[in-house]
Amino acid sequence: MPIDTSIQTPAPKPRSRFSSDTWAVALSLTLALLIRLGLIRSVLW
Amino acid sequence: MYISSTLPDFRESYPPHAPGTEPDQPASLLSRAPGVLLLLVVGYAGKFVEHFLNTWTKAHHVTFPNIEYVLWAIIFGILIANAVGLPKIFRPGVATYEFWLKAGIILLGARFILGDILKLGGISLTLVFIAFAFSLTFMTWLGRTFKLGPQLTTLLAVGSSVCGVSAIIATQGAIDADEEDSSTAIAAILALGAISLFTFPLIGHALHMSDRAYGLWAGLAVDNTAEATAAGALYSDAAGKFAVLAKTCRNALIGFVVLGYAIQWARKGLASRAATKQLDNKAAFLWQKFPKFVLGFLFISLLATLGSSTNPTIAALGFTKPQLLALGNLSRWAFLLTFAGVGLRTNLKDLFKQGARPFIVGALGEVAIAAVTLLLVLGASHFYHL
Repeated sequence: MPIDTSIQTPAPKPRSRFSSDTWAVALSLTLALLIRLGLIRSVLW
Repeated sequence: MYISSTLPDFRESYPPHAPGTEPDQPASLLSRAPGVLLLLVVGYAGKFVEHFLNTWTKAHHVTFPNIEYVLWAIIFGILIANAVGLPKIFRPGVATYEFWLKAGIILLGARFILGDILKLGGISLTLVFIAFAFSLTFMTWLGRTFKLGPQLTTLLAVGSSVCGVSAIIATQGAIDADEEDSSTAIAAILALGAISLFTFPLIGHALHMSDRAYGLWAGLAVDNTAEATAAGALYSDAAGKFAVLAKTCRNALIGFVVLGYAIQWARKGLASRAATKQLDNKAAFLWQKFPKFVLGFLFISLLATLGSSTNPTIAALGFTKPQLLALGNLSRWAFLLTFAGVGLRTNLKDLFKQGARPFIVGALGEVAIAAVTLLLVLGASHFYHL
């Protein structure tokens, strides 16, 4: 019989709606779009 | 104004691996600014030292090996975090290094065409499966031999075979491991990752490995994505690129591995009701665990591939060469912040706090996995001319 240990499991910590994955995708694609549209012409390294 | 609800959840607040450390509440954009600025200063200091040494040694005709800025940034970060200590004001910003890592990987897509990804990704995936099967068997045996608990052994096996810290955090919930087990496994994986930063490039140079072969090896054998990227970049810029590709293939498998463990744990009746309930919708479970930045990486790479087409209509849909260069440089800046973060979040005291047995099991496992993946990569290199 499965042992239910959920009572001891701590309550999930509050999380914001978007993960860092989503934000990384959003930022990168925005930068890519700005470059594609020619609004950012070059990036020095 | 407090705008935390719309900001990313960087759960790995500094230091992300410290045993018993509770992650901070989501921070505001403003509270992250000092730490991000520190990442930039430390990373740029590394770049400055690399450039200064190169110029100085050339001007004075001194023979000195070229040390990539990556190493300087990591060393400066470690020195600040461990000698001076990181003031609290910088911690939320320093914890964003994983965000910069993901952004850097997505933008790195501009430096790959899909054909390369399919070829190298296919080789990587095949090697990942072999290495995964080996590491799982070996780590389980080691865990039993050293009398570690099944949860800790599982976390160490997953961390060393899939993708380090992220895999451990994802699996923790699925197998109901406690915080202490996951902190111990994370600390062991990070300690070994820090050691690999200094050993892998030396082995690569000793074996005269090509950038592709070395990058593939670093991506397959170094566990945490940030450390794998750094270990690759320490060898060369190109090796860093291939390390990211191989590591991304490993990361993409995380959902399947966690799902496999969750099913196994539930079948044995060891999982909690909450963990078992998650398995009702397996597709949703896989999507939840899938690293979304991989899709961003593939999308940018698709546009780079279209841009290189000889058909002008198709090429017009993609990026031009100067645009690809700009994207590649943006990716380098994002990685510069990441590498500074790797050093700044490395807390040497915490890394060796977790006790000898998990560290020994992790170390023996890592050495064996590194050796096996090295042999696999050298074999693949022979057949596919990497």
